[in-house]
Amino acid sequence: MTSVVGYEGRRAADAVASWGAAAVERDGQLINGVTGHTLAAGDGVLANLAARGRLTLFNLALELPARARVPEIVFQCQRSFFEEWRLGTYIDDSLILDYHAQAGDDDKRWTTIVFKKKSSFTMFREHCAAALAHILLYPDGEPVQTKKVLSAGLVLSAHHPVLNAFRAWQEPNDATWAKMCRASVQTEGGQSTFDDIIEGWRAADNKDRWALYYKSKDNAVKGIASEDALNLFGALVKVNTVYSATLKRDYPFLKKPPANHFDRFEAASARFEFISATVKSSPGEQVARFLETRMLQRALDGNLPPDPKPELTEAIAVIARPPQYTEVEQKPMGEVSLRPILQTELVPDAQLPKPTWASSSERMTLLGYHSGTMDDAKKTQLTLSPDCWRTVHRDEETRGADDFRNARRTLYLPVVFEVVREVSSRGTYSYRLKSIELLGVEARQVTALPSQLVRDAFLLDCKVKVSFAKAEGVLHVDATTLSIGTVPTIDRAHEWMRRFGDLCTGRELGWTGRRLSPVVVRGVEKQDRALLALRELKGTATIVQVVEWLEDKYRHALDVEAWLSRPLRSSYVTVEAGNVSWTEQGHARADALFRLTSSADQSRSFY
Amino acid sequence: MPFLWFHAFDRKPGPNGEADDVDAIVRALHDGPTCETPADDGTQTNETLLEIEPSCVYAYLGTSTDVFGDNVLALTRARDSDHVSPFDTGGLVKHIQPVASFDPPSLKVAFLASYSWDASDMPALLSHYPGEQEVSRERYLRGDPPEHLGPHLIWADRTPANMWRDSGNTWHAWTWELRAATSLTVDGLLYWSCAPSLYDDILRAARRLYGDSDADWAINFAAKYRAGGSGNLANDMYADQLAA
Repeated sequence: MTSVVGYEGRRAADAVASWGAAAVERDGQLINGVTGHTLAAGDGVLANLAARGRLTLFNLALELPARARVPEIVFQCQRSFFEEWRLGTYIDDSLILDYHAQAGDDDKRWTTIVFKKKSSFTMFREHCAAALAHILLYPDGEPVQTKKVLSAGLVLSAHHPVLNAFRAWQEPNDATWAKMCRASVQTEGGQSTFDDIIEGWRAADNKDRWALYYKSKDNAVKGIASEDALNLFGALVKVNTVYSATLKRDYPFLKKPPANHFDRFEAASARFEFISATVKSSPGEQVARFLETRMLQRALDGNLPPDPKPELTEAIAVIARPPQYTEVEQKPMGEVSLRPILQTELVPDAQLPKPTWASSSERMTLLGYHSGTMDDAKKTQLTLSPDCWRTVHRDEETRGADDFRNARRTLYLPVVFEVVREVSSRGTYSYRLKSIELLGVEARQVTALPSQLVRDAFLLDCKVKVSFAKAEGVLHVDATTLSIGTVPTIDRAHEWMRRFGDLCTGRELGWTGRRLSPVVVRGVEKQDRALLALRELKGTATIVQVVEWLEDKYRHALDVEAWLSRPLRSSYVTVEAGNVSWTEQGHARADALFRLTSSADQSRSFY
Repeated sequence: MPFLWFHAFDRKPGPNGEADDVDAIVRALHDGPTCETPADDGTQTNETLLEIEPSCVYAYLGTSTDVFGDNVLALTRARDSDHVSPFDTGGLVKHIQPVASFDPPSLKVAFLASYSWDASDMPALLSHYPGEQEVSRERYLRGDPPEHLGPHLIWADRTPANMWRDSGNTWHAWTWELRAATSLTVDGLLYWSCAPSLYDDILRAARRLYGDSDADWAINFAAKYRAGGSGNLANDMYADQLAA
């Protein structure tokens, strides 16, 4: 008999939720669902582990079919909260073994979910944490039990920037606690989001204002013409529309903010003041408004986003350069005095050079599965490993693409496809789909593998034969057989990809480690190239030095602004006052990259 | 990332499972766990039989030998003066054959002595076992038995014992163990984990206990948490250790 008897670690007495590796009893053995380690489950073993806090036991074990796969994770939440927060919405029935464990009296207080796989639980907890963050950001009128929501949220996602910001904000005057909460977020991108949220709430708490002040050419004229005021407000509404989309993209947990809140206009003057929070603003609205206002402030200082939309540049121009006025000043949030707007030049979008394709790679034949169709079937999304997918462009010349117009027939099935990577003169790249076909019983040769070691690198010139017997649900990879089931699901697709990836990793390690083969490991992204530059420059350098090194090494101009905007959100480098330094993670990655790229003596550059 | 030392530990929960011992957990993570393990786990008895003095805190290389744990830490290094052996010493007393059957018991003591080194020797020892080949490292991290029949085939002048391949023993017979006299140093703390429902209480306790006197430590401590408890931490670290 196989039964789930509990899960690893203790459940605190006042816990709203908890989770851990499943504790599974089978044939007298106690098995850890995550590590697979076993222990003889003799008399008193369970009780002893529970007494020491190493195990939380159910009152009544959950019995599974005799040979059921050992489940990996158990999650528990107090039933009343689970229902109030509607966490059941995020459960995919195919990924769990049981929803409500049928257990004794005490366990009736709890909703217990047994997940087959850790990856399924990871998806579930990310959705739940986002939902709980949403409850805190946008309370819908009912009183929110902030402490309970936060407690459950942190159990599910300890590194969540929004939840950690709420945790920090509970003690707004404790700087050390704020730093601890920020450190808990762990990624630089997340910490940047954390900072933005705190700054937004601080601005709202302080009733901080953004002010615009226009000075007339004629000192005798006070105030502003109503037509100019109308244009100004029209431009602000336009900016709001554009930046709302940007906010939604960069801060997906925020709702579209309402238009800037005009708060004060002094009679016979041309001074406008806006605030980010009104009395009724929710915490989410306060942050969204603040961020949008800050983007506008920065745009007025000349920091427009890359490739700005024409309506944005026009609106900024209306705000920054009204013809009747000699000078425009702003008081940004967080500052105390007015200062001149720094915006001097606004380049119309039409004058920006359009990218041209500078080069393209050789053709790669890859194995993946079809995971979506977009833009009226002009783009196809292909997944190469559970955490690596590519959107590829198709055109009239793409062979076999018509078969993929209807994603329902092809979704999650193994496909073999050919792509080339095209690199623009501005350093951006894109993938073009040359051919695509559902994998069948006839063996096809895969010539490239997504690298498991270096993101966005590919192994070329490998020769792996693959075929798929759909009726039996069996994928053949050279002499290895992977059972992937006859009904395609995302879970099954990820499982066979993971195993295929394991096979690839084994080959990759062998090839690169022994320095034997003509296999090429290249295709280093710009961000990773920068790490190689930093490695050469001993870990820290000015931006100019890095750019020069890259230009010298890779012979193409670097779009510095675009490059800087990405590393800033990564965990590999930090950029401060014109200097770039690698983080500990970046250092490790640079070393790995260097080893990998230098191991293939006969390597060809992918670009 | 090199191989990591893992140490799982618990501090007795309150009578109703409440987290009234979080202060003890935080102190252990700040100062290093000491040998306060409950006497009922047999450790002290085994130490007496194997003549290990003073009592030690134990850690295991690559993963934790504990099937389930409450709190766990992963360390990048140990004190140079700590001792290491290529097996779980506790297992020599009753479980790891043929050593567990050595008679008189003084043979076990001698066996342990012949396979004990200072932790400062670890880089050289690792180059012998599990070796530098990826396949051997992977085998070690998975807990599979080594290719050799016993450690004497690697360290030729030591006591022979066919305790590895085809021995019927479990991975306790071929894991590297660290024995830290009295306490384990946490200078090389890379990550720690605990039961998820204790995490917030532990972080708040760290603030209360050390936020003013040792703020840098408290902030670093927050940055080193990995969610999911003992099993998940070992599992998460598998790929990173293999890729080193």
